[in-house]
Amino acid sequence: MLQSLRCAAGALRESSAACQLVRPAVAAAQRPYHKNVVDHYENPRNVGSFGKNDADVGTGLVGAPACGDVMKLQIKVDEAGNITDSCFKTFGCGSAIASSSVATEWIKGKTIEEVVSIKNSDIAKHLSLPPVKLHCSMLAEDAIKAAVKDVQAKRAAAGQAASPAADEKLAASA
Amino acid sequence: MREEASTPYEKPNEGPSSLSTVQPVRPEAQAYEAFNIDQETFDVDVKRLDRTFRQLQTQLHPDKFASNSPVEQEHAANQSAFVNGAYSTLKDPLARAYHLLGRKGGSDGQGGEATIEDPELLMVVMETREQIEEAASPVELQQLQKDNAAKQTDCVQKLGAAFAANDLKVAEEFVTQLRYLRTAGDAISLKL
Repeated sequence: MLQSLRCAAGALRESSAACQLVRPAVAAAQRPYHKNVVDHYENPRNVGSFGKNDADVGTGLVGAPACGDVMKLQIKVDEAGNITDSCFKTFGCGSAIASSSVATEWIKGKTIEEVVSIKNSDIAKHLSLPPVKLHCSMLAEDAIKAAVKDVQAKRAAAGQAASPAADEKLAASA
Repeated sequence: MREEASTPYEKPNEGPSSLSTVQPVRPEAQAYEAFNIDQETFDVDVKRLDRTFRQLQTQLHPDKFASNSPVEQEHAANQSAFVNGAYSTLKDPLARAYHLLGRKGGSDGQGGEATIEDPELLMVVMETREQIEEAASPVELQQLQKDNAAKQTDCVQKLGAAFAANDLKVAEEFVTQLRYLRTAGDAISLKL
């Protein structure tokens, strides 16, 4: 039922043309994607890359082996621990693309302490993802956490204690 | 090892004479067993698999059961569907590997719905996908397709070695790699 979106399984904008979102002939029989998914899939926000070696950039690279999806989510963090910018690149199904697109929107302007509490269920709810697609939102949650961990590790390595709370968390998880 | 009566499909060589005894598919029926393969190994004789499949298809053809009761016709159709499914599983290395991992009691190799954070693998995957995305000419794409095919062949070989050594952990790693190679291959095909 979700094959129409999944068949693209790849590039963002290119695939939306190559793969019809809803095949008219079978649309009625299929569960249609929620408009928020279609919106983020057709107009993904914040697609791109930051320099992954930059000191103020955190990179979360995660994958879902069951689908062959790969998701990269990056954050730019200022001295105070605020996320000033965020971008992503996802090769995967529509739900994975939409989940990461939503994630980048939500985390901008928040602190790194705040965003680690974003739950995949929040993203899934916003996109009305069906149960079989919940792991796509999980991927986005894990990508956020991985990105935060990465930037914290960089800071710890650089000996900066710009965000003591975050450093404590890192120490606790290490 | 297995009693004849427990074969999951209408027995070979008995043909129409046994039509009155068409049985339902046993719940515990197995893919390898359906193809009379005793050892559930990763390396299968594909030629033999194809040959057995054709024989089974002939034996289970609906025309042979036209005069049977509706219940038996349904059983025969279910047998046929089971054989088709088993064939798809055994014929494809990736599906076969998933199946074997499940049978051997490890995880199903599909990682459930778990996220992986294997930077080495995922970085390569990301780079490959970007190459595919940026490839502008058919020549470039064909080269990528060729590379991808070679990597898949290599991966399947390593998968075979891992299963032969009964190293399920390593097998799972190569299953994941193969899965990503497949997805990349599909992305190339979509652009060609």
